[in-house]
Amino acid sequence: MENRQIRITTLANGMRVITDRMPWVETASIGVWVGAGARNEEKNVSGIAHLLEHMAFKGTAKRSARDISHEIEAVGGHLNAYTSRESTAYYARVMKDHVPLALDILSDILLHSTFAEEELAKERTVVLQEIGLTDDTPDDIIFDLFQETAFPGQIIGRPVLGTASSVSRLSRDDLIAFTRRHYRPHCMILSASGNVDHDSIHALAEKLFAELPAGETSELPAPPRYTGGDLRQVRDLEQVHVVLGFEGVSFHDPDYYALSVFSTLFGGGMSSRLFQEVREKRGLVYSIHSFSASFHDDGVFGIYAGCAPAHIAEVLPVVCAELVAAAGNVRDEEIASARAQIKAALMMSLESTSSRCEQLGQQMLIFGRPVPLAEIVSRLDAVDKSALHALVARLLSSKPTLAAIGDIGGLETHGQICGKLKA
Amino acid sequence: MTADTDYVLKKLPNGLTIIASPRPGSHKVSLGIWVGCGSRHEDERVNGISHFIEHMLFKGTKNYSRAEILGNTRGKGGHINAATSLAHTYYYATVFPQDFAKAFDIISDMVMFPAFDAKELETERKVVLEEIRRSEDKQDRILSRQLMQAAYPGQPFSRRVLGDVGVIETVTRDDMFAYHGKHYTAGNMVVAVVGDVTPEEVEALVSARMGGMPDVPATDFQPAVYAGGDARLSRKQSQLAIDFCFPGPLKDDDDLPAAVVLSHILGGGMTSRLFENVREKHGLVYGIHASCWATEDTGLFSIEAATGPGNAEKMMPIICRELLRATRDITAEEVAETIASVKMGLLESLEKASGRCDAIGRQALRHGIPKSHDEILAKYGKVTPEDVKRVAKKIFSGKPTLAALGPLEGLPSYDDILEMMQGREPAPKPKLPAPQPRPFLPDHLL
Repeated sequence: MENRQIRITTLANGMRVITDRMPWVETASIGVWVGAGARNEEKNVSGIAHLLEHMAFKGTAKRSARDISHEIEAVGGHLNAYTSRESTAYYARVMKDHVPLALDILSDILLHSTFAEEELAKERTVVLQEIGLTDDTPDDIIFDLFQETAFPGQIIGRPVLGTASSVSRLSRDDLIAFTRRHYRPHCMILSASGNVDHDSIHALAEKLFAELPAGETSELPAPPRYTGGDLRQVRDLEQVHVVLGFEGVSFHDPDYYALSVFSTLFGGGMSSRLFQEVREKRGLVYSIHSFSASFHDDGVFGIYAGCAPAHIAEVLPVVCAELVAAAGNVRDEEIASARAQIKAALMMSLESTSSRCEQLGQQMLIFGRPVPLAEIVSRLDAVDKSALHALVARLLSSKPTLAAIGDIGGLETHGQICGKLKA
Repeated sequence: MTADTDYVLKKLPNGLTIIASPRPGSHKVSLGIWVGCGSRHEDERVNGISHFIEHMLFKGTKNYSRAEILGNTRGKGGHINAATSLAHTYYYATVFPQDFAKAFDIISDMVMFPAFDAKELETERKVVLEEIRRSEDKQDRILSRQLMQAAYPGQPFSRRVLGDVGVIETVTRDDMFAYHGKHYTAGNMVVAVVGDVTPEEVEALVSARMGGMPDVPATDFQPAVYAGGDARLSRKQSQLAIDFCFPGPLKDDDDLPAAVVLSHILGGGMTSRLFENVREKHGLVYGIHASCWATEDTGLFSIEAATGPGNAEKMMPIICRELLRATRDITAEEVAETIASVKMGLLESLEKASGRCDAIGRQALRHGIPKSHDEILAKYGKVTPEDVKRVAKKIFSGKPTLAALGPLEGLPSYDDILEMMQGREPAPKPKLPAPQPRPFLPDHLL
């Protein structure tokens, strides 16, 4: 199954290059994954990692903002970027002949952005619009509120976008300082997949990224303290949107694969327990799912549900009862089915150049190596009932985090919910 | 299969279309059944029944229970889902090749022999009502409904795909059987399969299973009649969202490719004119997009944006100026860029089996024969800057529809926007406090 042509080399400055050749496609994905994100921000510059990602498109020494987008779109390509808590990615999709152009633009925006003041002033307002949009989207903002409640007062608990007031204060000097400090070659991965040639990408990257000096180690972000708690906001909404969660696992935790199996069978899709119990059997919700978010040193596991205010008093007790029951009644066939779903999703993701490129970039940042499919499969196969029962007990031993918005009058108190989670 | 297509198309005597695109060695199969019915085929009394039926087909059929439907697809690592739109209902799955025959048996059983179990129906009613509530918390859903109500007032397009709350609360099992019998007919369906299976296997399987369906002609629908107008709704939220539309070309109109090129030039990416002006130059929005929507009887050219409170006063004139400029000034370079982007999109869509399955099935339902990529590219290749300007002139001289949701202050009146689309700056609004009364003077002296 895994006939992949993966190659890894290191540039003189320490930046790693990984490619995954797919000679049968006509296109390519190429990008730079930087091991720095919102968690690396100092206290007073919330939102800078994300603003920087925006400003990277606003002009370099030799390209105007317009040139950057025009050059890539003129050949039918796309250029985009995203910022998360632990990484920032800049990537392009192009037809195979235009990989050198994409690489040239990527290196230019990463190394030679000018961060012109007038561009910065405009881009601040664009980010303020983005913050406004998130706030108008209940099933987005609820996850920010959840994270804030799980890690109160900590950088890991802040929204990646920052806040309106923090973003309004960010300056050009802040951008330059953050780039110098965190965009270091040893924590940057150049990843490419599709119809690409490793040697020519390496040779070109050696030239284009030469100016990036081999760097000192950037400091690790402060270790998080999962705290848990309760946050409710009355909002004029049709549904109550609620996330109930617990401390989860880090990428390196021995339970990492167990939690991905558990999250799949518990709330991962139409055949999951939550979907069956809360939606199919009782008709209480349209959307309900569980999720697991990992960081390099911690993680969260949670359940999202949206329902009519009149249903919320019924939904949470069912979710709590299912959690408590899952600490002792997981069945072998559920595990087999969850495993099959995860494996199939992994295999199916291999057909797209962009998801291969993304996976390899992230795996190199997190694990320092591409993780072979066979290894993931064997780790998944090793997950059994007893591991899952122990895992659920572990999740439930942390203090629950509850975030809810909407007409929340029918919602039980945090104490009542905690009581229901005690077996 | 011919040299320039990647599929085999076959029509059974009862009218059912089968379309198969083999991908040997891909280790999986995507399959879908398209049914030519959606909310536009519903009369008001049963608004939402197409979508409700889509939900009910997962609740059990003559030969499969709810658990068996999921167990044989998701349980094996595959995927199964469905979607309902204004004009279609689509059931689709992706599975491993060894599970294909079973998955097809299940999906075909769903569309042919639904059980509409009375008890399941009562539970699912509540779920659909939750889905409606959820959509009412989504700004883009409310806005597009406002838009459709102003563009096609009183017509099926103005109604929600999810349905009317009153209908969902009361619709019966008998209604479902009647609607299903009328629309889930062989001539109104396309079976599309893309993946690690030969067209011969597909044809044999599908004709054995569905070849016996009765040959009933597809039901007609009332053609939509565009009205247009203003639909603004004040709501307390961070952003004002707008959807600004004009009547556009129909799906078979020769002008459609030029209109698509126009939409790309105006609002199709990071280089688009609206993105550059409204976002990059003025920082007024996070996103702004233009798009074309075309059916056999109507079409819309639409611009969507969201901006902070008060900004619309500045944004709307910029948008209108850009629309008018497109009627005079389009460069060959911009047209060429758009065609490169269309080509890239086509190549990308070929790479993903489920995307390809979706595309050829939908096209077979709408056009009879899906167009080959060469055909599509040839059509776009012929578009000139003159065509784009001519089509822009035609579109932007139409009567606009403006839907707006959020804090409305600063949003120009509909009449002012009509003025702007005539290239005139609207009369300045009196500022508060009201201006001092001036002595009357005849117009020509002012």
